[in-house]
Amino acid sequence: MSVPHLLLVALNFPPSRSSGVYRAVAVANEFVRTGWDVSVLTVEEEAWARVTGTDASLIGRVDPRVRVVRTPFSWPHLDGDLRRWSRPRIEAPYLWRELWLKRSQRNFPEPVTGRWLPTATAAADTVHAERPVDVTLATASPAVSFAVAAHLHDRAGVPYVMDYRDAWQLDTATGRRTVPAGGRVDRYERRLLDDATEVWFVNEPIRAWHARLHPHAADKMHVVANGFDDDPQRRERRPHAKRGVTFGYVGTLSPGTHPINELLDGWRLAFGADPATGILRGYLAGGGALPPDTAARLRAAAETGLTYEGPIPKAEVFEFYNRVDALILLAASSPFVTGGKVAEYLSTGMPIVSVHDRNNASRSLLDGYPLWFPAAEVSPEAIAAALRRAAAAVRDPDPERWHRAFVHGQRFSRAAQLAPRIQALTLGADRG
Amino acid sequence: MPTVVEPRLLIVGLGPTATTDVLLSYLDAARRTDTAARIVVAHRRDVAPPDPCGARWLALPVRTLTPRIAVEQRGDHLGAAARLVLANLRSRQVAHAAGRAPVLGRLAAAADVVAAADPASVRAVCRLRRRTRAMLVTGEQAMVYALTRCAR
Repeated sequence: MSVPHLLLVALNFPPSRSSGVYRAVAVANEFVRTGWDVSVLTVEEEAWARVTGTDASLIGRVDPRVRVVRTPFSWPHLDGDLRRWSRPRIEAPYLWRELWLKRSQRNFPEPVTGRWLPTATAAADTVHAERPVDVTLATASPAVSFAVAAHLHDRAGVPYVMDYRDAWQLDTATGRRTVPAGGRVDRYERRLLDDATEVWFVNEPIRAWHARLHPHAADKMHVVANGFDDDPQRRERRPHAKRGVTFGYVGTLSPGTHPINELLDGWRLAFGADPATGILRGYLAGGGALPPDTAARLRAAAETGLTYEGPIPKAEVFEFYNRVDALILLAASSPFVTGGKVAEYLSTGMPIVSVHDRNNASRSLLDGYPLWFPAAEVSPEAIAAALRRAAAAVRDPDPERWHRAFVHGQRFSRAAQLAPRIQALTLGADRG
Repeated sequence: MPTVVEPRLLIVGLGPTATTDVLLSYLDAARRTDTAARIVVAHRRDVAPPDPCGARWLALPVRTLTPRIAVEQRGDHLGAAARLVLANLRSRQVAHAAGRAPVLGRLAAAADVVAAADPASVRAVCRLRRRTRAMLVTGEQAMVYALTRCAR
């Protein structure tokens, strides 16, 4: 039996620091670990540096046996280098942008990233010619990755898996459909699903939504939840009574979707005679800027012990967990949003204070976690109460409860989530 | 080991005050990790944002913008074409005002990075192309990318 060859199509891959990167790296590494040859098709490193910034430490997390094939790509509409702006763009920047976005969907119905299709399909053909691909796994967003996989299927009969980290027709933040039924995207997605071997989703609500929309493909839809990445630094902590409590948050801070202002108000109410420390780490969503009023409130919160300490490289996240006693989980109010950090939080075995409404999909993972302190509602009073309960669990810990929390969290590893699907694909590749 | 220097940054922010403030907030966050800079902010004389970055402020004679802004605010009720024309006129007005300030040209010539803080200032920064070898940018990420490159 020869070693099967996986082509992973992932536009978001290190050194990109977008959230989908962690899942792509985990998939590549896990397939390699289970005996596959893995090639990753992505874009050149420089493409990310200009528009979103990069996290060089992420490259070190990719298994050295993974072969990474990079193609040129750019985001001209986000390019802030004014020396490269054309005269028409300077004269009418809004008009230029609209026309450019429209033109970018010529090959594929997705703004901006639809332009990747010709380059990526050519590169996929080259990879397949050099070493035949047994399975293509395309991870999205962007959905153009799916079209690259479908190309190899149409041309050479290579089976493919569609991995929805997000959704194409569903706005996971609002729960609304983003495109009209029967439109270009709907027709394209239907065709892609028809030919797919498997379709993966990160949680059950998103899977169920797609199963209702595309019942003909429902039987090949699976939930492959986000999990935490194995790390040699992960170990169970032995709690001991302490007075000063340090809370931490790691993840993107998005004022548009995260209840940051409510957290700041709740924090101010929470601690009186026994002050606590809070540290927020992560990139700021929306190009890296907080609205000025939130920025001002965040600066003011430093007086009460809550500070924003800027972005954190992935490689330093564990060091951060070791600095804090309890974690704050800020999340959007949507039944479709889980967030990758929930599993990572759970794996630490530390108290978790949930600051999101009851609607959030992460509740399904957190239910039953012995050190979970959800705010009853997204109000300053309820958040303050949850923070105080978590602080009490740190100040006067029950070792048995902490142990049960750590054990509970270990079931959410990436490897555990991926194992059944990799096994099924390996069997398929053997038969093929 | 590369020499680390503090690049000279000139921000031209002649549009709404908030855009300059956002740019400085971002810089404030970014500099915690790997970016530091000597900053001069050129701004409208009538509005100066708070200063979280220890910047030097340079007031430019663009008071005449105020009535134009009032017209633009009424533009909410106008069609897309009218708003595009107003945006174009406004950027021309900013560029004209900036062109009448020789000190801005001298600062740009000495800068490593010149950033436009808002769309209305882009034309003014673009007109500095021949007067400086600095990187000319707009947007937070492009600014930090340029500063990081200069610093290294």
